[in-house]
Amino acid sequence: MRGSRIKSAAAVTAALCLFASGSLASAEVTQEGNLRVSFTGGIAPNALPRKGAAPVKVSFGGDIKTIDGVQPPQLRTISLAINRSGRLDYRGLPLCHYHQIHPASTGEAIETCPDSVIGTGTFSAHVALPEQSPFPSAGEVTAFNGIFHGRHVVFVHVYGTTPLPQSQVVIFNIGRTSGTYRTTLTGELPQVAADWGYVSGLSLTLGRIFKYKGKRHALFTAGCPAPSGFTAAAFNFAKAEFGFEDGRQLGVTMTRICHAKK
Amino acid sequence: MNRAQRILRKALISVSGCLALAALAAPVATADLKFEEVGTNLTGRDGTYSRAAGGHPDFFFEFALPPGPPEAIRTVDLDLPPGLVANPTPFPTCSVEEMFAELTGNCPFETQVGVATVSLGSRVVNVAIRNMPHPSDVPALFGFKYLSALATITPRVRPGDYGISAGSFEISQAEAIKSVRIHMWGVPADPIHDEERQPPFFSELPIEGSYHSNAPNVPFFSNPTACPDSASTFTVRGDSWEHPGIFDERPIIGDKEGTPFLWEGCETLPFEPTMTPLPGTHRAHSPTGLDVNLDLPSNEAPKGFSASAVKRTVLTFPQGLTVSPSAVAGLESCSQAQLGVGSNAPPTCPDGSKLGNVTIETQLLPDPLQGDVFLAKQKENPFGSVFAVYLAVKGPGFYLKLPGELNLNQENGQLKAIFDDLPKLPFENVHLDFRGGPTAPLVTPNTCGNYSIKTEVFPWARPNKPVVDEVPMPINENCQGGGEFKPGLQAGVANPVAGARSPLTIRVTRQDGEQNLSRIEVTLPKGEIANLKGLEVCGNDVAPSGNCPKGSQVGIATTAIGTGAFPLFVPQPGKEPTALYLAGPYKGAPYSLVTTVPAQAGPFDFGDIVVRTAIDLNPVTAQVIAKSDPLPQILEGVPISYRDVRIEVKKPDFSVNPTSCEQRYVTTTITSIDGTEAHPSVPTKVGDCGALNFGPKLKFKLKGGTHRGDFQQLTATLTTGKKEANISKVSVTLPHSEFLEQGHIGTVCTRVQFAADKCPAESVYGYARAITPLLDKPLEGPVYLRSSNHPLPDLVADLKGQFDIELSGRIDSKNGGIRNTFETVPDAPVSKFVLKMKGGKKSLLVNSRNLCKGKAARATVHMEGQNGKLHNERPIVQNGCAKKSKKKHKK
Repeated sequence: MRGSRIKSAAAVTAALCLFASGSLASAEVTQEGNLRVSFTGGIAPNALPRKGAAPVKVSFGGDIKTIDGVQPPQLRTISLAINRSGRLDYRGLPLCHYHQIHPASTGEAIETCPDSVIGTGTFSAHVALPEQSPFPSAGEVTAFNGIFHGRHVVFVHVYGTTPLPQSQVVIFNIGRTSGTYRTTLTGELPQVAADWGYVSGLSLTLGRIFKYKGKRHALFTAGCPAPSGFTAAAFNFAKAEFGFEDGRQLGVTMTRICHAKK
Repeated sequence: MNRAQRILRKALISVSGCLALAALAAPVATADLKFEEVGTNLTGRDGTYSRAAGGHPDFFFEFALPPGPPEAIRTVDLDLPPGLVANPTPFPTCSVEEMFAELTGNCPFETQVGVATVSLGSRVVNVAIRNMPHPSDVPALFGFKYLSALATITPRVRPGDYGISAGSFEISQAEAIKSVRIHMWGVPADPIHDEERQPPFFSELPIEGSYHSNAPNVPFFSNPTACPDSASTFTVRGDSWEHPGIFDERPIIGDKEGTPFLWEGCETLPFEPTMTPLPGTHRAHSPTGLDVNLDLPSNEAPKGFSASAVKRTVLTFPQGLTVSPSAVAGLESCSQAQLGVGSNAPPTCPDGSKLGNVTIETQLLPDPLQGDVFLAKQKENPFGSVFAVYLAVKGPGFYLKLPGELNLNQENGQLKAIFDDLPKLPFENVHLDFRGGPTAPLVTPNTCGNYSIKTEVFPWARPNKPVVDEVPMPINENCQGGGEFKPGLQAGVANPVAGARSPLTIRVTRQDGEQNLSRIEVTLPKGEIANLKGLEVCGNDVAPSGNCPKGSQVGIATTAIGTGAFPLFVPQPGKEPTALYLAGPYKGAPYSLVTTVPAQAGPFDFGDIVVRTAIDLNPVTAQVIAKSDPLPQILEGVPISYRDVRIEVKKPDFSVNPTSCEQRYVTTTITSIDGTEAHPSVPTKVGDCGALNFGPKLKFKLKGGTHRGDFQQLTATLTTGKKEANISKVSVTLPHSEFLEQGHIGTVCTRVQFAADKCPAESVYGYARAITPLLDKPLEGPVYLRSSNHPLPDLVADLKGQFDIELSGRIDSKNGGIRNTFETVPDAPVSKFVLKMKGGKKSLLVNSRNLCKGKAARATVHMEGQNGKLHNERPIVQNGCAKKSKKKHKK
């Protein structure tokens, strides 16, 4: 029962990641019952080679609200699947350990694992404690290339000072599948974050250029699968799914357009 | 009546007689005096018996002594039934000189009121009974001259039943009296008696002749005006010169024919009283005297009937017109012994017990009777009542001593004055005048209006059929303020220096006419607190009775009650002040005040009234809140109109001043008897705050691992110095090294749960302990996270002990550090305060870095004193790094 558990107001701040694109970002909206989620996302730049791949930054984001103004259910899981046109390459990228970045402020975490940073973003949440007016909470999101229990993961480090200094780390497991979506990121939000607070907005942009063995690497690379004779192509950029505590799963497939570079 | 009849009658009379006198030689006594025969009768004009109540029959009394050498009669005394009266006032008198003029006498016919027949053995004489001038110590005097001697009949009013007794005393022994017959005329001017009149210069009634009397044609003799079921009794007694004081006493219960003296015809007797009680003022809420006038027209028709005497009067005053406590100051009371009930001795009531005057005009006496109204002694009066009065009226040779009950309704104080079993004597007017002025015995209603006083006058003739009236009593002046409620408040300390120990006075006043005070709740200003250390507290085993030990006394209380310019102060001047005791828990509050008010004023003693006042503390501000019990509104039927309630807390070192010099207020909620609330407040301010230092020390210690992610047990210890201002506000920002460990947040205590003292155990995150020099024991208790109006729950130390204090801190962040701000710290001295937060898996704090690396972590502390002085510091937060460092050095 909610009342018997807590998880502080601040818990909210422990948020997660999502991805939204910058310039390209356009929103897909999905709704179930009173719950509505607006997904955003995209890649930048969107002018990509027709053949081969170029470094890109991938953005994902989402806003959660209810159409009747009641408090949304708490977000429990986030699942992202990225089109196979995009590739994730983290070879040679330094790994960061969980205890190195948590608990820590954003600055301290980056200071500890500066070379593992693979993205940044923001989060927003609302906290509704018993007998108290809900209040907003916001903070920074930093993604680290990490390893956890021997597995390669993405740590999404959330830090905020409002209302209190605290940090949370959401661990996204990296998976691979076949088909349209090759790379998956699946994260489970800490229980503590979900009891009194509810995430209302998340954004994260992933992308990193780094050197490995003297060569330049990019975390994400992508090409534009435009058919011959076409300068642009529409493709299913990503599929995102949010799981809520009440069992609802809201997902959407984001279709984006890329421009083929000559 | 023809001559033969007259002779026969006189012959018959000769065997009887009345009070006798004058004889030549006393016979030798052989035994005590024994009447051979006694008798009385009352007859109408036709000679038959008359038992008509209020009628005016002729009265006969006769006695005879046994044959042979008689005892020389010395006294003959006859008790008449109550109500049987003779009225000599209308008739002229004949003096002794006139009776003996020219040896035979020269008294006018008009002075004759009857005939005496005296048998002297060898001779029977019939002589006129004259109305005589009487000395001032007897109500009347009758006499008849026999031979050369004078026999007198001296009436008197018996104490007790106020019946008439008439006697001849020290009867002359000059000649042995065989018998006497007295015949008093019902209406002396009645021509029926013309042949029985003794002309001037006749030594006795002439054998024949008819003489007219020009006396007023009004009754002389009257039957009682009551008709009880039982017959009346005459009692005659006599003694002899030989055996003075040894009386032969004979009751006479009927006439010779055996007809009892049972009065009849009461249902037709006239009775038209007018009773007019008039308060002395028409002003609202003012002390007032009272004039009561009772007129009762008499009936002087010779063939009519007397108006019934008054048996009982009842005055029912309107609600609101009540007994005035102000009248009691200086008043004394009169005991039954002082009144001298049952005797004609003058009362010896103290002057201080006099409430007013009384005047009675009766047709029986030429001059009005004057007397006093005395306050009867509480409980020790004929009614056993709290309130009663005595009317003591002086008559010639007697005192009317009449008790009257003042019945006060115990609920509303409505006053009823009852005089019952009044003498069966006729009167024409009674006038009672209760004194007026500021100490008048009554007080008018609070509000203007058309009131009325109910009067009931019960006749003896028909005791169950009163004449009832409603006498208007308009109250139409001084109406302003009536029913309002604007109590006044005064409060202050004797020595208004910050932090000083000083007596405290609180005074609530109320103006005449306003609604009465019912409850008083006083909230002292912040910082005006009490030093309870080492103080003896009155236990709850004795507190209800008010018998608290002397050591628990913390002050005194004074109350003024009543209406008008001179309210009654309790205790009265010169009496021991009313103690104010500090007592134990009461009505949910940890302490209470006990006031044992001696309800003693003037001659009244209503015992002790114990009033308790719950003393609580606002747990947030530590303001003292005193809530009185409902104040007694009526005591033995006397409404208690509070005018001034004064509390002086004056135990040395008990009352402590604030250390803030800002203007603060004594606030109150004063509730009237009608439920109206008033909230007068008084600003208070102490000075010299600058003389107080302010430099508390705050130390922090973290206990736990020093690595990132280790959980910490935080201990904060505050200490203060002497003669420092108290803390007003504290803000502590922890170093950046400490983050909130939200995973350890179990739950929060809602405010509802907190108020009910039912916070879940999971909401406890620490423990706090405060030591104050004002209390014997520390205040201590758990530290909760509690819901609040702030974005985050508050950190609340729920301190319990002699008082409960709730120290609430707002949690937020400042420059990336966790900040806790205690915005409202009670203005109370705290010598030491320790806050210990839980560590380990219960800790709310987690290291965000290795504490042993980099600079020592410091907290940022901002403190503000109640006197406005600031004290900021950045103390190092102690942790385990120092130990590690030492260990390294040792190695």
